[in-house]
Order: sequence, then C-alpha cells, then structure tokens
Amino acid sequence: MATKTKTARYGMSIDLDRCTGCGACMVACAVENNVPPLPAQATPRTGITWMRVYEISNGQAFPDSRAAFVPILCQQCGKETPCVAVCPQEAVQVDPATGIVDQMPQRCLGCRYCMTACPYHARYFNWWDPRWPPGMETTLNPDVAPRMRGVVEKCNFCHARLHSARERAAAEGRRDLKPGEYVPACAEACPAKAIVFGDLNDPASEVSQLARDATSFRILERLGTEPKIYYRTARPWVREAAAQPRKEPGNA
Amino acid sequence: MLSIDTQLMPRTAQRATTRRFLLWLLPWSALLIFGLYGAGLCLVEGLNQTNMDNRFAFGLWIFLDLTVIALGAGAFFTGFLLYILKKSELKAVINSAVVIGFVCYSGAVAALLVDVGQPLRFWFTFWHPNVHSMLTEVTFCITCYLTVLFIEYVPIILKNRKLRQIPSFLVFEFELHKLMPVLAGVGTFLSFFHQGSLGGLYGVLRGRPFAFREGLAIWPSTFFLFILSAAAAGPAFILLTTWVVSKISGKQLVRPEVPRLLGRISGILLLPYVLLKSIDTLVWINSTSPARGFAAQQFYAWKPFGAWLLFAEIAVFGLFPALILLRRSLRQRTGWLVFASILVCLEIALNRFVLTIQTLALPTLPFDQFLSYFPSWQETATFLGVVAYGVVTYSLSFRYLTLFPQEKDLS
Amino acid sequence: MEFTRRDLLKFTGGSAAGLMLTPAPWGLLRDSALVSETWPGVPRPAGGEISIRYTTCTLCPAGCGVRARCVNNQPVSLAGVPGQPTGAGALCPIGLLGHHFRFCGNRAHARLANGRVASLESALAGVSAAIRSCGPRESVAILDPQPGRVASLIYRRFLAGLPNGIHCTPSGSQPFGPFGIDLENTRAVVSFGVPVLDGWLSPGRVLANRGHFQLIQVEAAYSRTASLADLWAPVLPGNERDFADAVIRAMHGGAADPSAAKTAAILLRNGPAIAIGGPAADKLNAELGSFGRSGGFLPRRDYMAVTDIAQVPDGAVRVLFIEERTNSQDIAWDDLRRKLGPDAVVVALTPWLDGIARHADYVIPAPMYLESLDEAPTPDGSTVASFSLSPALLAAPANLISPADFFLRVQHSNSTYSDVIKGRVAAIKKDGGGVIHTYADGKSAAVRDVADIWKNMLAGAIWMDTAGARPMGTRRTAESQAARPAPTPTTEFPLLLLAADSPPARGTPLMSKLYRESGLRQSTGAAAINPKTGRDQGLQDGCRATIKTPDATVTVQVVFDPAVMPGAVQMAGQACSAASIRRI
Repeated sequence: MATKTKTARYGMSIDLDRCTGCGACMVACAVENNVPPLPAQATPRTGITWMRVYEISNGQAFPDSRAAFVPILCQQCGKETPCVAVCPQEAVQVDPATGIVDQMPQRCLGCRYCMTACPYHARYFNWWDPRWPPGMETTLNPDVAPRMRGVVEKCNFCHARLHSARERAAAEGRRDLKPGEYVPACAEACPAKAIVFGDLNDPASEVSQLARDATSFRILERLGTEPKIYYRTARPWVREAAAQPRKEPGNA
Repeated sequence: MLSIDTQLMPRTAQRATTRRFLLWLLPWSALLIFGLYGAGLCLVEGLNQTNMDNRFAFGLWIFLDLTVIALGAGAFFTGFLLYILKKSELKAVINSAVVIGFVCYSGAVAALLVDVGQPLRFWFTFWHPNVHSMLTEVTFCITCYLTVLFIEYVPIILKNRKLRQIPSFLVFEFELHKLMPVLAGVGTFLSFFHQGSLGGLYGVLRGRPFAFREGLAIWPSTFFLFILSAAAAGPAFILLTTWVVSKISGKQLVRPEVPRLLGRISGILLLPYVLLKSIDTLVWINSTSPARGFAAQQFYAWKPFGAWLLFAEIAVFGLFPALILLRRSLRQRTGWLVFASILVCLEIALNRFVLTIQTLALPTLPFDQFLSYFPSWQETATFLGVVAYGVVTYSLSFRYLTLFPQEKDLS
Repeated sequence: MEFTRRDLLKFTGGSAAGLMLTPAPWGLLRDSALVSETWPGVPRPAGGEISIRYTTCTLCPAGCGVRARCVNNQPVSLAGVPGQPTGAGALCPIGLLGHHFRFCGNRAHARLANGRVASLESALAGVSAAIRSCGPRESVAILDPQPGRVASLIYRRFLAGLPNGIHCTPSGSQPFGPFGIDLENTRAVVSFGVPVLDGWLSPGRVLANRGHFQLIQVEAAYSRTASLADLWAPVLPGNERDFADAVIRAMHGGAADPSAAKTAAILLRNGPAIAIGGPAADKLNAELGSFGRSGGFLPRRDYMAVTDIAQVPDGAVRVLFIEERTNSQDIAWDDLRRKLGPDAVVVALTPWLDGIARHADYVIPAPMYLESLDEAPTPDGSTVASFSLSPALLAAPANLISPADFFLRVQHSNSTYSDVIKGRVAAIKKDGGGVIHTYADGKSAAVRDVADIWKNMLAGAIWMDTAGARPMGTRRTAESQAARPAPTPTTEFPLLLLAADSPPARGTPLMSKLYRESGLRQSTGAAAINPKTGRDQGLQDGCRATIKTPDATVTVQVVFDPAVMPGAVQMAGQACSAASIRRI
C-alpha cells in the first residue's frame, strides 16, 4: 500500500463561451464559505466576493456590442506566488500537497500588503465586522470559520470540502481521492457547467486535457506567476480582451 | 512666566512667555485631539471609516509613513556623519535631528498601528517572521530603530536643567553618551536596511509591473534608490526644519556654515540619485516592463498621471535642486538653500506618492479601470494628528531642552 | 534600612527582568492573540449531524431538483440534483439562496383584517360573509400565480361551488399553453424580449442545450440575453410585428433591413426554429410551422386553461383572492384595481407584508418555500407532464396556513392540502404511465414497479410522463395579449426609457454579492445611457440625474454605456416609457 499521497496540483478550466454571468458561482461560494452580506454602504470596491464575475465587452458600440463574462477567483499562482512572498507573518502558504494557496485569517495582521501584491485583485479585506441578519447564523456552514474584521480572505478552492473528501476516503481506507470526489462550490453550482475542476498533475483528468487545449489561455501569463486557472474561448475578441494587457490608450 | 516653566528651560535660552507658548500649543493640541478622535473611530468601528478599499488597499497613511520615514532619515544620516565620519559641524543640529527622527518614526509607527486591521496582532511579525518579505524586514528594523532613537533621545531629555540635578540621571546620561558612536553605527545599519526595504516593498511586486524592478540579488533597484534618496532628503529636511524653527522662534540657532554643509551633502547625494533613477527608469521602460507584457508608455496614458509626473520627479524636483545645492554661490544664500530643500523634500514625497498611490490606481487586469481615491476625513484627521503630535513634541523639546548648542553663542 | 531611589530602580529593573522569565507576560500576549482570533460578535456556526435531504425548488415554475446539505436539520446550503430531468442538475442564484428567504424582512406573521390582528375563525367568517354578499353580476375571483398545481384544482373546486367564480392568473403566466418547447432539438430561437439566458425555463436545461441553437434576441434594450445572443436585433418597442413581417418577407426572398435579413438567413439555414414572446412571435411561428413538430412546440398531456386576469371585465370582481408565492413578481396593482367593483374585498394569501398585502383587506400569512409541503407541477416549457413534491425542510412559524388549506377550511372540508396532494400521487400510481426518477441515486423506474410512490417522492423524486399523448398537428390559438401601447418620445419626454434586466422581486441578503458588492448586475439606482446621448443631455459619466416619465420621477446614478441605443436610457425594474433626464 502506498505510504504517500500523490502530489496534486488542483486547478480549473473555465469556458468563457458558456458563462452567462448569472453569478450562481458567486453566491454558492458565499454560502459555502460563510461570507457575510455587507452593510448597505458596501460597494463593488469594498465587497467580499471570493469568486467575482467581470463583464467584458467587445469594444463595439450599439448595435454591435457583445459581452462576455470572466469569473475571477484566486488564480492559485504556482511560481513565486506574489502574496506568499510578501506576507510578513507567513499567514499565506502554498500547500505542497495540493498546490492550493492557503490563507490563515487567524494569523493575518491586516496589513493588506498581499492585496497590493495580487495582480488579479483576488484578495478581499474585512472592512466591517461580519454581520448576518438575525437568525441567519443558523444557516452557516460548520466546516468553515467565519472571519473577523481587519483580516484578508480569499478563495482557497473550498479547502473544507477537500478535508471532508479526504475524511470520507479515509473512512473507506483510501488515501487518494477519486476524480469528482472533491469539487469546490462554484464548479458544482455553475448551471452552464462552465467550470471544470481537477488535478492538473493527472494527465487523464478533464481539466488537464482542457488546459492543454489550443483555445486555453491564462490571464496575465507574462507576469510569470504560473496561475492554475485556465480560461478557454473560441472567440478571438474575448481572448484579446481577457488575456492581453489592454492596447487602448487609456482614459483620455 | 511661571517660575517652574523658567526653571525647566535651558539656562542660557530665551524663550517665549508661558502664555504665548500655551497659545502656540493650543491649536496643535486641538488638532492632536481631533486626530486621536479620527484614529479612535478607525480602531473602534473598523477600517470602513477610511476610503481605502480592496483595490486601494494602501492610501494616505502608507504614503505618509513612507514620506515621513524618509524625511526622518536625517536622524540616522546626521548621526553617521557626525559620529562615524567625524563631521563635527553637525553637532549643532544632531539633537534636533534626533528629536525630528524620533517624532517621525514614532508618529509613523502610531499611524501604522491604526492602519492594520488587527493591531492586537502587531507582534505576530516577530513571532512568525517571513524571511522573504520586505515588510518583515521593515517591521523589525523600524522597531529596533525606534528603540535606538528613543535611547538617543533620552540623554537629550536627561540633560534638561532640572533633570540633570538628579545625580543618577547625570551619570546615566554620561554613560549613554559614550555609547553614542555605537548607537549611531547601529542606527545607520538599521536605517540602511529599512529605508531600502521600504523601497523594496514595491520593487518586488511582480504583480504590479509599474512598480516592479530588477536589481541585485534579492534586492530590487528601488531598495538602493530609496536609501540614496532618504540619505539625500534627510539633511535637506534638517536644514528646512532648522530654518522654520529659527524663523518661528525669531532666533539664530546655528552658524551659517551648518546649513550650507547640510545643503552640500544633500546635493552630493541627490545628483547620483537622479542619475541612477534615470538609468533605472530607462531600464524599466525598455526591458523590465515589456518583459512582463506591459509597454511602459501605457501606464502614462491614464489621466491625471501622465508623463509629466515622471519629468517632474526626475528633473523638476530632482535634478534642479541638486544643481542648486551643488553650486557654492547659491549655497551662500539662505533663500536658495531653503528653496532647494523644499524641492528635495517634495521630491521624496512625489517619489513615494508615485509608488504607493499611482501604482494602485493603475489597472493590472486587462478589463480593469483606472481608480481614484481620496482620503476620508478620519484618515486626514489621523494624519494631521500625527503632524500635531510632532509639532507639540518638538515644541516642548525646543523649549525645555538644548536642541541647538550653538544657540547660546549666537543669541 | 534606607530605601533609596537607586533601590527602587534596582527593584523595578529586577522585577521586569524576572517577570520575563515567568509565563505571565507571554500568556497575556497569547491571550491578546486569542481575543483577536475569537473576536466577539463573530458567530460560531453550530455543529451537529450532517444530513442530505431532497426537495424541489418552488421559487419559480421551473421546478428544479434541490439537494440540501443540512446541519441539525437546518439547511446550510442548496445545490442542484445531478441528472434531475427538469432542473438538469443546476440551480439559479435565487434557488441557491432559497433557504435565506426567511431573512428578507417584512414577513407576514399575523392574520390581519382591515389592518388589525384577527383570528383565523374571524378571518374565515369575514371572507365567507363577503362571498355570500355577492350580487348576481358580482364575481369571486382567485388570482392563481401558478396554475396547474393541485392547489389550482382546489381553487377550481371551491369556485365551482359558487355562482360566479373565476379562476384567473396574471398575464403571461401560461406563455405556452398546453405546449412544451422541444429545446433539445431546436436549432434557432427568435426571442422577442424574453430573457432566454437570464431566468427563462430552468437554467440547467437552457444552458445544456445552448450549444446547438442560434439565439436571435429582438429587443431594444441591451439586456443580458441581448449581450450574449448570436444576433441582437434592437427593434423599437411597438415595432416587433413589423420586424416579424420583415423576416417573413426576407425568408421569401424579399428586401428587408440587415437584422431581419440576417435573422431570415439563420432561420432558413438552421433546422427547426421557434419564436417566443408575444403576438409577433405567434406570427413567426405560423410561418415556421413550429407547432407540433420536433424541435418546435410539442403538446403534452396535462394542461389547465386559466383565464388571463386581463380578460376579466372591469369592475366585475367583488371578492378577489390573491395568492402570492415566496418569489412572486410584484403584481401591478393599478391593473388589478380596475377589475374590482365597488365595496370589493381583497384577500391576500402571502408570506409577505410588503407585497400585495399592502392593498388587501385581509392578510392571511402563508408559509414560504421550504416551510411546508408544496408541489412542483409540470414546468413551463416542458414537453412531458411531470410532478414532484417540495417537502418542507424548515419548521414553519406559528399562525400560518397555506392558501390551499385556507380554501379547504372555507369549504369546511375535512381534507388537508397534503391529503389532496397525496390523492394526486395516488392518481399517478393508478394511471400507471411514466417513470419515477429518484434524486438520491439518479435512477429511474417505471411507475408500476415502484411500490410506495408517496414515500419515494417525500425522499426526493419526480414523476415524468411518457412523451406525446396527444396527436400531432394541434394548433395553439394565438394568445390575445393586450399589446401595451408603444411609448413615443415627445418634446417634453424626448428619450425612450427601456426596461433592462429586472432584479428579483425579493433579494435575499447574499444577493448583495451580485448587486451591490460587485458590478455584475446593474443596481436599481443606476441608469445606463449612450455616451453621445448623455453628452447631448448635458450629463457626465457617473453624475447624478433625475429621470422623469409621465408617471414617475426617479433619481439615478448615470452610467455611460456605448451599447445602449442612442436616444434611450436603460434602467432595471422600470417599465418602457417616454422619459426625460436632467443632471442634478
């Protein structure tokens, strides 16, 4: 019997041609991870949305305008992970067994240096104390600790689900997880089945096959952080709008 | 004047009446209380009291911290020049420099404690340090250096007319003074690193091609540029503050050769800084930024941060004052000295502004926007509170301690 | 012994050094960390037994299957049921937050009669008296938001016992009549303003089939569906019929504008096609022959034709019962009020105080989704009849009565709603046709092979009929929808206010992720305008402005969007109208 689990490198492939921007992934993520609804003063710049869907346009005016939707979550950078390098308390680590970039809110000082470092804006700060409407605390997921104010949080590929899957596998005497046994909330919730999750180290997995596909790309790839979220699209304008740093002149 | 008030003053000093001094302190104290209220709100209610957000995670306070620490570098650099390089003319301003350094650093640390989301966890950096993070280095060095500054400040306080009557204090002060060269050396070493690491904070951000720089080993070029700019700004700031204090107090506090020396030192350091900065910028435009997929020019397409900002930083506030300060004939004239010092200090502020505020305003994701940020009143109040704290502390020190030993000879 | 200052200093220094060697300061330091880590006010999720329970979502007629993860029998998250036929394994964002509806505020808890708390008996007595007092030309009407349920049968039986009973439904609640859409085989969909990709049918089903049909969206607003469609034909409101005519003309080789020509080309090239969304769609469907063929509209077995409320004569109703469901759209009260006669009595059967209850004489608080046993009949657009239960997962508050139970009580019946639903399931068993698909294992079994269907359904299952019970070729009579007058800009109101995607009628707390905490959905306080039009009107991107229509004035935040039609301003949750805009 094997004594070591296989080293996994969990990643995603997101089909931008299927995403309709419904936001099911965003709300499923908030439900799973006990992200509170923010007070009325919250804005798109102070909200906590571990998974956030952006709208991009083809740059044409009426009537040729078209939109596409890009779900952005922590890209789980695999090389010289920007946030890991800069955290003064080592509150962010890359888990070598899974490749997941873990965040420890209990150790976070709230200096927000990691937020400055992240080019994907995938990190969110608790500007307020978390508050749920009276009684709504009963609907919280017991597997995930709610965070206090003043700390940073971000997507961790629903790490609690990984733990649960491992426990279930262990109960059956297995060390390794079967494909589909561990799926983050966003991938499970997507009505369009646009998000495929799996082990990029497993060449037979759907995600690693899709990642090798010619229509796949990563965002800000040239920064060299080796993100593990792959996007794919057959539409050239979507690829240009999402992958490349912008070409247009600015806000003249 | 209150007799106790007079008794606390240095024997040979002529100071304003108690009433006038209290009137001077009143608005600053009010500002300090206002600042404490703003800071208190942020601590009690949370950082939602500020206008910082997930995209502008750093705002006014960080910009000010960086600027104020760079300006406060005069403390370490003057100490280095005096105790290590034996430039004895600087004895005339070393005490003032130490007090300024102390208020700058302590004010910055106080602002930082409000800026972090969980101030109770401030000691986590010492407990779980990340050796790869520039911010760990900054935290350690600034804390140690603040301790050094405090130890350097103590003898100045103990030399107070009333306090030195206590024999044990006099002995303590004397012993401490023997340590000064050691402390100056330690202070220089610590300052070298934290001034550099403050620059390194931005230079290592591979996710922000506007700020990212290559460098030497683990240190990006901004590390060295920050040290050099802080060393250049320190003497200029000392010069400026000495001039301001002498204007407000109506007294000549130092001999004319002291500010001229400070100006010359500032100019000697500023010119190579401008040169290195220009080279660094060219390398960034032609190599570093394009290698990461970003044409450097595109960063300057976002209003209001056009290329004029770069020109201002290097030429207007960098090269121009350097040339002034290096001309002996101009250094003879106080007006030119002060004008050039103001420009140097503004250069530091502008450089730190560009790295903190402009970096965050510029989009990274292709479907991002340019963002604007304006501090809330609570943030502004806290900043003004720190300034008020500095003015009050310095005013008390100037009144009751000998900050300028040459004053008694010149009055 | 003399105690000098030096001794004091020595003592203090020694104590400080000694203290450092004790656990005290380190313990205090650790405690300070613990305080920050167990911050007061941050709730601790309750632990407990974790179970999986199944139900069906009744927040809209799509009836998607729901898998609920429960802790101590409290649902903490909902998900779709993989392989479930109606929902195709998915839930929309509203469905994913179904267990949060009870935290929306403004819940009706108490029975009200004319604004005062009343007992059930007095409410029943009052309502019965009102019914008895109806004159010969006065009717009793029940506005049923989702006809086709067992509850609808209960309403019908109740009304059948009255001389002038009307079973009616809000306009547009039965868009396809007895027909379902064979989306699985359709190759083109022409939608006249229907939000196909944004809340039409069940998202799982539509998106599973999206890859094999071309979508032509015909509407003036740059809606979510328009932005994602294969072809967007921005036709002004009121010109839909002309567009349909142009497409038909182009299909026969005649000249037409580019949008119509492109649409015609797609329809000719792609196989079976359908059109949806009003009278213009009917015209096109007639041309396409989409009724009764594969890839078009297929008839199914069960259908309950219910009168459209718009068809009820004005002033005819003396007693109006309005059922409002957990996620019902707001009912246009002004349209309803016209149907009421003098001295009319309105009874609201609703979970909410701030919906139709505001206009009602009697408020009968009803349970919400997940609070009581409910049912999911055949979803809109389904080509086969189906039926499933929506068992309760939450304890209902006291004092509530489901609308169906209320009417059974009015009739002094001994049955309960559950009994009647059970009877429906028994009828399915007796009929013997179709299959039962179980959620837990994803397996299907023929009805006759399942012993206890009721038990199966309570645990999570759906009955699916066998396909096509009526002969092909049945034509649907064209819906005579009252066409809304198309707004015309005037000098006073020079712009066209277009209705963009509406937010859900009731936003559960976490919907803020989509509306406030991100820019994914336009908030109801924002108005998008074409940049040139905006500048012509003296506006600036991001400025505040007032929009005036003949009926209302509203303050908005202006957003410049080049996708919006020039001459138009687009807002969520507003009706189409002529409008003016002025900067504040």
